Amino acid sequence: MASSWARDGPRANGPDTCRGEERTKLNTVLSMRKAISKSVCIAIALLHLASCATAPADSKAPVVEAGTPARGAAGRPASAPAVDSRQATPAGPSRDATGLRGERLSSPAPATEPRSTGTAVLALLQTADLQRAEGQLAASAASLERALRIEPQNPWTWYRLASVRLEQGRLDQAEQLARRCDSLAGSDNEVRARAWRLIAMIHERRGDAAGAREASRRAEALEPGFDPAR
Amino acid sequence: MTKRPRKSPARGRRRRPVSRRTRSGRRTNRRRWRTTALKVALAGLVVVAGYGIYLDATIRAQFEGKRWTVPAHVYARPLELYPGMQLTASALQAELGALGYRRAHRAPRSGQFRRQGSSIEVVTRGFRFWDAEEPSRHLKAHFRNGTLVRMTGQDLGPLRLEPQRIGGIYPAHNEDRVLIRLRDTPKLLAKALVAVEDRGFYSHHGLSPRGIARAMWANIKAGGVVQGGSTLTQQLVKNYFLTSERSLWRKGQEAIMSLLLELHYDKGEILEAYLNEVYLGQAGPHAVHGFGLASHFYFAQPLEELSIAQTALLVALVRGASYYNPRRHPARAKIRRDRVLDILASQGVIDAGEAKVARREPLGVTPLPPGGTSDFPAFMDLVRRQLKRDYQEQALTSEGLRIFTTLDPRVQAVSEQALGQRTARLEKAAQLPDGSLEGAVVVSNASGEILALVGGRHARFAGFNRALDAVRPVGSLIKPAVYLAALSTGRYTLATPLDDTPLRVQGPDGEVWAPRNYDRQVHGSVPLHTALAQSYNLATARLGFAIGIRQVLHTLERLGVERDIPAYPAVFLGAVNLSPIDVAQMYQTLASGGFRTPIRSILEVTTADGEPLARYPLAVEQVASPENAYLLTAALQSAVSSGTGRSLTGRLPAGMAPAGKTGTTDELRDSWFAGYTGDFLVVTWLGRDDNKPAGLTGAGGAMQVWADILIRLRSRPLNPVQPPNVEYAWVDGQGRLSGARCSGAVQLPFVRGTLPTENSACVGDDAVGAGQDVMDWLRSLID
Repeated sequence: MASSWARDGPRANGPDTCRGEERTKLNTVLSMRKAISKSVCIAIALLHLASCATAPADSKAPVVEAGTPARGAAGRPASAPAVDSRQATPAGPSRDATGLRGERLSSPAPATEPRSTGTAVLALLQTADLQRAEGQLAASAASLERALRIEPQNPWTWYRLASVRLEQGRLDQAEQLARRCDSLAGSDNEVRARAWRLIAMIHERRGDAAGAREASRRAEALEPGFDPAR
Repeated sequence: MTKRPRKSPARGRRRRPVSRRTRSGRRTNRRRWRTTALKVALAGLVVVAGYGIYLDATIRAQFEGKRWTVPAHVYARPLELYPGMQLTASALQAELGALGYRRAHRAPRSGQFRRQGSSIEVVTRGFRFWDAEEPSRHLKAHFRNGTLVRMTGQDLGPLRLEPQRIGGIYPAHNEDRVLIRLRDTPKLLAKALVAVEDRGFYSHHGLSPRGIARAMWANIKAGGVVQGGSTLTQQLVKNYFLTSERSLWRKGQEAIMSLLLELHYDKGEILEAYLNEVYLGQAGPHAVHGFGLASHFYFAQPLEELSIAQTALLVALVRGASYYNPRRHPARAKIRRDRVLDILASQGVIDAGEAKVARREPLGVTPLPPGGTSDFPAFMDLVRRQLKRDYQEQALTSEGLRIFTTLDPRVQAVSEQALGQRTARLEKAAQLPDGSLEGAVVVSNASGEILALVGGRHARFAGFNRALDAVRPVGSLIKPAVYLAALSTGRYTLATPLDDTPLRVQGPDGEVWAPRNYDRQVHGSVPLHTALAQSYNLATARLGFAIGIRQVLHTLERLGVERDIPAYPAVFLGAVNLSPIDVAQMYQTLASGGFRTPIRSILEVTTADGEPLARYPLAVEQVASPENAYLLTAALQSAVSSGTGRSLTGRLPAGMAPAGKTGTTDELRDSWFAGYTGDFLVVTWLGRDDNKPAGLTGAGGAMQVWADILIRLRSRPLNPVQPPNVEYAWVDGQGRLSGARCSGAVQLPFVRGTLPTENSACVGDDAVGAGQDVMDWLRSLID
């Protein structure tokens, strides 16, 4: 259907036609679905929210999700970027933590923003996570864009969008979004570390080992317990 | 047409045997005559059958294929409702009004709302968005101080109202419709239509002799044509397949086609086709076809919400949509509607009580047809241009595509109003000829979505779209590109002293370029941030030469300026022609922290059934380091607070801290302002179409429109995230380290490791410290 309408397919700055979307969706979703059982994703996504919703909206301290129920469960949470098995290299000791821990959802929003804004964004992030867990990557990205309209500077939303793009196989856009996340994170080292992990994976996928090493190094420097003397 | 030539050869053949009759025997003649007659009859039968088959094929092909051309429907952004958002009760009420929600005084039903003091209770209609189904929800929104503070109701997640329809992409023949299915059509409408137009619809086979007889009788009684005898099927055939020619031959054709239609399709299919085909009004150049669109066109409501009286009016219009036009001939329309109500009551479709109540109801049509012709010509123009790049004309005008755009009707209204009012005032003050001052506005959000586009001060008139097509010199608006290029070399900081002294440059053609400052002064050594904030031309030109024209052009390109710009030094001072939307793209990159974010007017295109076809997602590309973008934004904030934009102080809400830049061109021909806050990027341009001087500086003209818009929009403050390796320090007017209490000292951001090494006299040559500051302060008290 789409082909009869689109004159000459997607352009550089043109639309994404949905066929391509479906294709990449299939590839990544199939590999993802093997690893993750849907119910686990949903449970974890809900847990995120349960813990974050109770956190004060203006709390500057990272509200790190208690990841215990998820630890040891099959696979990683919905929010973790999809990784294929080839990409074990940038692991390091901190990677397990990144993979298994939940995400901080509350934004480091400036005090001037209405306190209650957070709940709308939280709900949209929850929706995005569920959609992503169900393989509806485009819809998930749309929910994240809605969240960005409400709170444009929330680095966690940008991080999620980057993860969705990576899952869709859009490496360039994933990298740019991760960089945008990093630029908005300020001193939130946790999300910055994740963004650089993501960038490392992207370099890895492109076969750029040096770029991957460099990005991993930046991620490690931001992770807790980093010892610069090591 | 085709019948006549068929008859004449038959007659010719018939005559010949008659002439021979006298010579030959009578019997032979009769036999011959009979055979010929038989042949002729057979031939006629074949022809008639052939014609029947042809008609049959026509009907089936059209009826079973795509039955209607439906223009692409264009929607505005849906309003998101969430606690904490900046929204007044009146703004929500206006939005609901535009969507055709009715105000109720009891508990609202779907499509209704109730206002109680500072809260609004509403039952949303629900809408199928491309990414998710938005269910109908019953909620109560509570407001305080311009903020939606709380929402109560069942199942309240993130919530979107349905989007307003803002226009369509029409084909040449200009038919417009909103398709409906019979199963979704209110029972009352179907019953009323049959009762009034074709009582025997469910029993006849396409033609109704009784109906014709009844009509004739009624016409004879009335002494004129008061009733038509056509069945709904005949009416459909007439509208759908035939021209409006009135002849016996066409009547016959209509009859055959009606019978054939009834043969192939059941009553439901025919009725559904009729509901979508019938002509019910005219919206400018667009014909309103079908009840689905008519309901929106006259009542701004979906069909299923219509009252008995409203339904009766639509049925009344079947008889003559222009003659009974309720907006133009309300009295006539009411008489006909009440007649329809009588028929409905007499046939038991409604009871007498209902008819009585309905007769008392006013016509209830909206004053202006919404969305029929576009209220937003400039924005629609942009949408159309973008769509034409990606779709074929025919798909846009006939497939019923649904196009979801970024337009925010509230922001659009504010922008139109601000431009219209301010240009009128400025024109008077500057004693310009009436109507000569024109302008344009582009408003986008942090994701690069265009919320409003105004192409001229008379925003409702389609015409020269200045927001896209007024390609004018931008003057000092270009300067941030020069300064970003400088910062990106790593050799400059915001405190680097620049040389604001005269310069003369001779081009290869011998022409001498000798720029001057706007105030005709020479300022000597000034720190970089001051040169930008005060928009000094000499310092900027010298800076441009220091980093090179190539570098500046490269930076412009990286920022998203796509036009070809000649490599002349005058570019440093804005001898560059750009349109307001080009400028918006350039500043969008600055507002997005150095990430180029393509500005978009379309988010999503779906098929008529809501299947996603294409999306235009948020995309970013880093073109400047976050640190340099942060520094530049800080400098542009000081341009507003203490530079060329300082007259805004006091007009804008305190703490909004916008970043912005004025632009003024030779002889005050163009007045520009581009600036951004936490929520919006707004670019404004004022000038004259004949390119004569408008007598306005950037600050005196465009910036005023800009401020009018921002004040009404209630934006969040600009609060860029400070990159971890940016630090602040006090510097003096010469770009040396200074202290908080030194006179003329300002606090500037620096990339770590680039602090000035020299100290101001105020702090002495030693280390800077808090104690030193206190000493300075004490000393200043004594002095």
